[in-house]
Amino acid sequence: MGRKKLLALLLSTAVVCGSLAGCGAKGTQKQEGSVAGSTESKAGESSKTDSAEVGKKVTIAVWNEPSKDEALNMYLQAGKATGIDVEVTVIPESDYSSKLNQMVSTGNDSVDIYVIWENDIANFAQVGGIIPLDDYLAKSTIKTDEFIDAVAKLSEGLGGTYGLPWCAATELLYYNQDMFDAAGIAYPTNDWSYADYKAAAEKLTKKAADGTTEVYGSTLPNTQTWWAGIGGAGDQVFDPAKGQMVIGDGAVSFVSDVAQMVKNGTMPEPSSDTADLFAAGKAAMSWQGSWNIGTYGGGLAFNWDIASIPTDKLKYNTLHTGFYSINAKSKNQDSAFKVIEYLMGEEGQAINSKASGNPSAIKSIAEKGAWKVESVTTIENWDAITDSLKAGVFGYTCLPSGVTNNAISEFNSAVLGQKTPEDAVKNASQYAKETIGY
Amino acid sequence: MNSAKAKKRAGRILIFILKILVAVIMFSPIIWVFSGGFKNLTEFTTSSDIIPKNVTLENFNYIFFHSNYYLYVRNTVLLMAGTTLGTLISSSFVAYPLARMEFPGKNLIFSLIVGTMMIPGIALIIPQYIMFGKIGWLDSLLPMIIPSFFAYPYNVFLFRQFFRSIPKELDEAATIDGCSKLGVFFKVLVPLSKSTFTTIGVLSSVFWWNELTQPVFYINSDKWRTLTIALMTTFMYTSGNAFVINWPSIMAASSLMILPPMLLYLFGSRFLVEGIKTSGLKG
Amino acid sequence: MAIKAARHRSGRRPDGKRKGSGRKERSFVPLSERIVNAMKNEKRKPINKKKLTNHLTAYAFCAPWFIGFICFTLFPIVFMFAVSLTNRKLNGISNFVGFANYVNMVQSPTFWNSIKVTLFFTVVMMVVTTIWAVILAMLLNYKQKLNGIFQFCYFLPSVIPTVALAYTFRTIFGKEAGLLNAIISQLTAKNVMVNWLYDKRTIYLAVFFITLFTYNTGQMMLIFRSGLNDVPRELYEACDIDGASPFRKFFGITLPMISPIVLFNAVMGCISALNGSFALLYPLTGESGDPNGMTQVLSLLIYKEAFSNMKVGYACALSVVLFLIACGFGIGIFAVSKKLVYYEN
Repeated sequence: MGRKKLLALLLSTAVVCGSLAGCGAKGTQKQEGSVAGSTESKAGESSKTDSAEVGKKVTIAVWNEPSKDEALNMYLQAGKATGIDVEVTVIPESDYSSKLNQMVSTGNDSVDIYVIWENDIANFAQVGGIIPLDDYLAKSTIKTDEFIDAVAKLSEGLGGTYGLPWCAATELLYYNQDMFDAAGIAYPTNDWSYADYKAAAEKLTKKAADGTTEVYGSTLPNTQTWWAGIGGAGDQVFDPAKGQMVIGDGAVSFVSDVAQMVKNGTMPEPSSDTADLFAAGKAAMSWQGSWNIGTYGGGLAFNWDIASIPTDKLKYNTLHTGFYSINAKSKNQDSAFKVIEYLMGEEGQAINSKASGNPSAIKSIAEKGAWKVESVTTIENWDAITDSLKAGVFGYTCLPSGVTNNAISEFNSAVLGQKTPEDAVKNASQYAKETIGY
Repeated sequence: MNSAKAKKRAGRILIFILKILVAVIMFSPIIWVFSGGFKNLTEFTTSSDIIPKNVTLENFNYIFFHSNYYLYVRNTVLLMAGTTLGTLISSSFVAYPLARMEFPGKNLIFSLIVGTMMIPGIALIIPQYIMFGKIGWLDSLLPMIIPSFFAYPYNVFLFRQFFRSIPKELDEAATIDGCSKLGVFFKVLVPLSKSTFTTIGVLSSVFWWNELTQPVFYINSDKWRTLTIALMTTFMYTSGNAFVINWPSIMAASSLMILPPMLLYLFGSRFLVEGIKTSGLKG
Repeated sequence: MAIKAARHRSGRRPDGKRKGSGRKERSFVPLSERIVNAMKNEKRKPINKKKLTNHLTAYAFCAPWFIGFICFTLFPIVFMFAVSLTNRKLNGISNFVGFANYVNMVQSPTFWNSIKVTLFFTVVMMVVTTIWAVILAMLLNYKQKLNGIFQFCYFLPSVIPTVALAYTFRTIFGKEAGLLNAIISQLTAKNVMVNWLYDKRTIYLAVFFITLFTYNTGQMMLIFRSGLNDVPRELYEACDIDGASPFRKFFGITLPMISPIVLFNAVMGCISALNGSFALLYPLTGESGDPNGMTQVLSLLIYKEAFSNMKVGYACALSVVLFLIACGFGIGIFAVSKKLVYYEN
C-alpha cells in the first residue's frame, strides 16, 4: 500500500515537473525596457524574411469583445483577407491599461498588436515597448496624410508615429423624442447652448406626489462626459506640454451646477447600482459616448435622436480611440503590420465603423458614412457626429486613469453634498500633481 | 413547577422564531441572485420584484452557448485540482514532524508558519508578480499551483492538530515492526486521517473555486481565464460596450457558480463538520 | 517563575532532594582530562547518530515549506523593501530614491485617511463577524427540529464567491431599484430611497452587514459550533440547579470554555479583514473607496497606486506599512490572549 502511494506521488510530481519545464522553457526575456535602442532593434527586425512569417498567427489585445456577427467582426475579416490567423485577447476594460503596462514591463511577447489608449502611447514609446511604424508606413497604402488634426498633433509630440487610431469616437447628447413631444419642447440642435440644456432638463423632470422623481430630466454625466462639461465650462483639462491635469473655475461651476440639479431632483444621485436610465426610459436626456449608437441599435422602446454636446463657454468633447501599435518584442512584426494595414484600410475601417458606430479617423473614409448605424431608424441628426468630431480634442484620456477616477470620485462626493465643489476640485488637482511626474 | 416548564417552552419557541428570522436574512441574497438571473436588464434596473414579470432565459443562453463557459470551467477545475493535490501532499508532509518529532528549532519553525499566516496576500502580490514575470510564468495557472506544493500555513496547522490527536502508541508499534519514519507516515497516519484529508480537500477546493484576487493578477488572456474572472469581465459586459454593467448576467453566472459548492455541502456536510471537530482546536 | 526561584533559594531541587547531592563534577577540570573525556565521548556516537538522522529526517519533511518560505515569502518581502526605496513605475523604469516614498506618504492626507479606515475596519469587522458567528452557533446549538436546514441556510452565503456577493449587494443596496429599499417601502408605505452605499451615514452599516455573509463568518460559525458541542453538559446542569440566568451561564461558562476558539477565530478574522477586504471592497466601492474615501482600506490604496497610477515604488512602500500593521495585530492578539484565554490543560 505504501509503495503504491509513493509511486503515485512520484508520478504526479513528475507530471508537474514536466509541465513546469514545458512552461518555463518560454525562455528568459528581457524585463526592463530600455529607453534607447528601440530604433536599432526595429531596423534589425524588419530585415527578417517574409516567408518565415506568412501564415502565422497574430495576437491582438483589445478591451471589447469582437462583434458576434461574423460580417462585423473585423478581426475575422482581416484574417480572411490577409491569410493570417488573428487571435483576439480580450483584457477587461477595468484593468486594461495596467495589464498592458505589466506586459510591456515584463517583455511579454504573447501579444503582437496592442490596441492602446491615449495615455499609454507616450508611455510605451518612451520605454521602447512599441516600435515606430514610420518605416512600414512609408511602404504601405494607409492614407496617413488624411488623419484628423488631433491625431497628427499627438504624433508630433512623440517624434514618430507609434500608433494608428482605429476610429474616432466622440461624445454626444442623446435625447428621448417622445418625452420632448409630450412636454412640448423643441428638439435640441447642434447649436443648443448649455443654458438651453439646463432649462429643458428641468421642464422634462416628472415628479411623483411625494416629491420623489419618477422621470429625470437628464442622467448624471458619466466618467467620460464629466470632462465634456468641465472643458465646455472653460478649463483646459489636459496640458500636453507638461502632461498635467489643469482644472479650476470651470470645474467648480460645472460641479456646482450638477450638484444643484441633483438637489432639485432633475438628475439622479450617484448610486451603486449604476444603470442606464436613459435606455430604460427613466431619463429624458443623456451625455454619452458615440459608440452607444451601435449598442442601442434599433432596440430602444422609444424614438430618440442625437445632438452635439451643448455649448457652454465653448464647444468641447473628448475624442476616444485606440491606437494599433506593434509590440517591440513581437516575433511576427511583419504579419502584424499586414493585419494593421487591412484594419486601417477602406474595408477594415468600414467594418469597424459599422460595428461600433464610430467614424474613421481618416477623413476621406469617414465621409463615406459607413458609421451611420443601419439598425437605428430614428436618428436624423447624423451631422451631430461630424460636428462633434471637429470640436473634439484628446483631453482627459491622456491622463493616468487613477487620477481621473480620483477626480470623478471627488466630484461625486461634492454632488452628494459631502464637500464643497471648490474643495473637490482642489483635492483632485493636488492628487493629480502628486501622481503625475512621479 | 408548571410556570417554569411553560417558561422553558416559551423560551424554546422564541428561539425557534429567532432562527427562522435569521435564516430569512441570511438566505435572501441567494434568492435574489437566483431570481435576478432570469430577468432582463431593463427590468432588473427599474423594478425590484423577487419573481420577475418576464421570465427570460437570455442570460443563461448567452452563458452556455455564446461564451467560452466550458473553457472557463475547465480552467477553474484544473486550478482546483492542482492546488488541492499540492496542498494535501505538502501540508501533511510538513505537519508530520511538527506533530510527531522533536528537533531543534521545532518551535521556531512552527511560530514562523503561524506567523506567515498573518501576512496579507495583497502586500506581497506586487513583488511576486514581478518575480513570476521574470520567470515567464505569467498568464498561466502556475503561479498559483506551484506555491501550493510548498505547504500552506493554515493547512499545516490543521494537519498538525489532527496528527497530534492520533495516539503515539500506533507510531511506536509500527517503528518496532521496522518502519522508517516515512513508512510510519504512510502506513499509520495517512489511513487514519482520511476525514481530515477530505475536509481540507473540500475546503481548499471551494476556496479556489471562489478565488479572485490571485487569478486576476496573474492571468491576462482568455485561454486561462477562470470562472471568477469571467464573472467580472465576460459575463459583466455582454453588450460589447465596456461601460454598461449587465447585472442579470452577473446574477445568472453567480447562480451557476453557487450550485456546485452548494450541492457539495448538501451531500458532504457530515464530513465537513466532523473534520473540523476532530482537528481539535484547543491546542 | 516565582515558584521556581523560591525553590532555588531554599536549597531544594525540584525533585525534593537536597542540592549538592549527586551533582556532576563541573567546577574545575584540567585540559588534559577534558581531552581524554572528549575522546571517550566518541564512543557514544552511535546513539547520537540516530538522533542526528532523526533530526535530518524532520528537516527533510519540513523542506518543502522551507523552500517555499524562502522563494514565495522571504524573497518577496526583501524585494518589497528594496523596491519601496525606488520610484519604480509599472512599465519597469526604476531609479533609486531612498526614503522619498516614505516622506511623501507621511505627508499625504489620503494615506492617513486610509490608515484610519484600515484600523477601524479591521477591528470592527473582527468583532462584528465573531459575535455574529457566535450567535449563529449558539442558535444552532439548541437541538430542535429542522436544525439541518437552518445550518444549511446559515452557511450557504459563505460559499458565494466574494465578487458575486459584492455585486449582489450593490444591487440590493441600490437606490432606485434596490431590494432593501423596496422591502422597507412596502413595510412603511412610504417611498424610501436611501442611497445606502453612497451616504456617509449608512455606508458603514451596509458594509459591515455584508461582512456577515462572507466565507470567513461561515467558517467561524462551523468552528464555534463544534467548540460549543464540546462544552460539558454537567457545567450547565450545575448552573441550572443554582438557578442561574441564561446570561450568567453564557458569560460564566460558555465564553471561558470556548476562549481558545475565540482566539483562533479572532486571528482568522483579522487575517480575513486585512486580506479579504480587497476582494469584497474593490467590486463594491471601487478603488477610491467611495463615498469620499470612507472605505479606502490600505489594500485598495495599494491596488490603486500600483495599477491605476502606475507608481509601483510608492505602492511597495504602502505594502511595507500594511505588512507592519499585520505584524502589529498579530503580536497584539497574542499578547491579549495570554491574559484572557483559559486553556483546560
